Amino acid sequence: MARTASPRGTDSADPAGLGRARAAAISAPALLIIAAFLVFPALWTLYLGTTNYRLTGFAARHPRSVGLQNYTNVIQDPDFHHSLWLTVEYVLFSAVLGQALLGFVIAWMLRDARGWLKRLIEALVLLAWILPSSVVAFLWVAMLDRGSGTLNALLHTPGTAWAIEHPMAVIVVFNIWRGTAFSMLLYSAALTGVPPSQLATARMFGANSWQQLRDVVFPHIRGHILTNLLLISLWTFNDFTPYQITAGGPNGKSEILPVYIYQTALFDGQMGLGAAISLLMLVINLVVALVYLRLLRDRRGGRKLERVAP
Amino acid sequence: MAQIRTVDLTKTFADAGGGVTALDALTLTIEDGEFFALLGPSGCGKTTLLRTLAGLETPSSGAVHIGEADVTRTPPGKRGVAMVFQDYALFPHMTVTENIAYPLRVRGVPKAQQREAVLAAAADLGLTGTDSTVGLLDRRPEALSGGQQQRVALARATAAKPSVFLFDEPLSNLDARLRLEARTFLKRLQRELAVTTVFVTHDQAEALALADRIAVMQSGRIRQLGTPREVYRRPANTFVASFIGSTPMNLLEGVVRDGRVLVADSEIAPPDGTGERLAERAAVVLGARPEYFRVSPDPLDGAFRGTVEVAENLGSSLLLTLDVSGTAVQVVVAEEDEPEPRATLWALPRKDRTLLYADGELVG
Repeated sequence: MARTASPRGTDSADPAGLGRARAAAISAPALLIIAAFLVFPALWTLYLGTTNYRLTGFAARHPRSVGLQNYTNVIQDPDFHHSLWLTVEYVLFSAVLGQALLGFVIAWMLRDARGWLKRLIEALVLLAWILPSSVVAFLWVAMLDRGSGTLNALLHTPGTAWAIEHPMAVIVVFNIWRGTAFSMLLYSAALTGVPPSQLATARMFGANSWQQLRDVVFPHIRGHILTNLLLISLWTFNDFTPYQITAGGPNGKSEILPVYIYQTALFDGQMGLGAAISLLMLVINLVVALVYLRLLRDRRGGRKLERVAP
Repeated sequence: MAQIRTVDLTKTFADAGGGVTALDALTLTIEDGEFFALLGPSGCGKTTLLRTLAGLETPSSGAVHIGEADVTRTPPGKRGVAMVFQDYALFPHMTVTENIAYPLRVRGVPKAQQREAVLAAAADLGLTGTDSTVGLLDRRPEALSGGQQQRVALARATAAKPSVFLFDEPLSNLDARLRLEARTFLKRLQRELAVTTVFVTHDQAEALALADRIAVMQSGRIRQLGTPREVYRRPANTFVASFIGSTPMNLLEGVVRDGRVLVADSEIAPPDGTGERLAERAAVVLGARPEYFRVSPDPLDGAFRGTVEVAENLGSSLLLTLDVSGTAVQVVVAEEDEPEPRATLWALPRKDRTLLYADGELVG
């Protein structure tokens, strides 16, 4: 513990000057909570995935190890393939295309706006984001209702059951509406970091809007774009809110992976199978995150290299 | 190559307090090929004027003409104007070559021609051909010194072949030593290119050194328009008088008595030809630059008598602050003439360089 006595506190191994014991004592409660609510369930899921554990019945009392059978079953299950494909569509259309694009467009259009218009639009977009999902889901169910829904009244299409006839379109539009605020906020902040003199220079040389975006704006906010896409992809991939609108139906037509797991594990009671799918989903999440992080690092590493070699 | 004319140019910015007038009915002609300075303290409207010429701001009323054309509503990219910003605004993700070629790329000029123009512009700006510039064209801006970055920005502007250059504080991002070098370089470049050039500065020395003509601005108005010599020798009002000159001009309040000016208990001869025009007992301000004094340890007729309060070494000369009956008068003396502390000196303003202001305006 001689290190704690370091008079200038510049010891790189112990910058806070606490000493190992006290540092451990301070972080212990947090680590305990993480262990109890994050690490343990994760390991429990890993274990469950190798059993035939069920919610009810004989296998609930006496689960039996089945090895990798759950995994082989899932991978060969056409329902799983279907669900995975729906999830990819859901992420691609609602997050990557919908939220990110719409969020950028709003941020770009409002970049010079001042006063009540900007505040109004931001407030409306944010409202969709901060409302509790149960409330939001109820509002959407009411809006899309076949008999007395607002949408049918607005479009003069009485009797159209939107959530049944176009379930995927409904949850895609819903998620765009719900999540665009985050992209908008992130891009708004990123756009303030684009030097106005560079934009003005491009304009002075006659660059049109697209050229200004391509040559000045995107190179500056590339990191923000990747970070945003990473976050919203993962959030959307794991999003369970659509269940509250379409319940995965009709007939599995909007059964994205989180809903599929819920149906399998809690509705059908096959906990072991559900745990196995959960783990596969976690792996997919990790792969997606790694791809984005790799793209981010490529960018930074590349710039560093240039600086070293003039 | 073009003349620039503004007619009754007005720009007001709306804000909570009703609005700020940045440009107040400005009418100004900048001649073809001229090197023109907009000089003034911050908030005087000089940058707004430059940005309005560029098309980055739209005037509230009035017109801007470049050459024959009225460009008041013309977008910035179609005015034939190139602007170099204070921070140079080089694109960080492009190499020097790509930066210089940018205006041509935007216009869709073929690659081979772009390359040719880049090499020509780079050669003009001294970015090729010396040991220190080997490989410079393939570097990114962040790997360049401040001076090199400025030259790249200038090269990019010249590659656009504009009829007008606009520079926003062209020297203020350089350190002091580099600034003098860049100043000489800039003046030579402007002479060689002979392109009408307008630049904004808050540094009076920069404006005096570079410009053919200077517009000294305050609160959206031009307070004086003239050559550096005119503006320095005969500031049209006390604002310009106090703004121009690296050591500020002495502006001493006094009254007229018997054809002479009574200032700080001293009777000073007014400038030639003003004696008879001055009304008796009129309140005036006497202007005399510290450099234009004859200073002597012996009594001089019609001079200020004061004691040395502070002596500041300026290198080849000294700036003395004299206490003249409670009024501070600054004079510059040669380095050999350093006085003793608290010495009594007589300081006689040069009659042909003395100025007289009444109600803030030059009267003689």
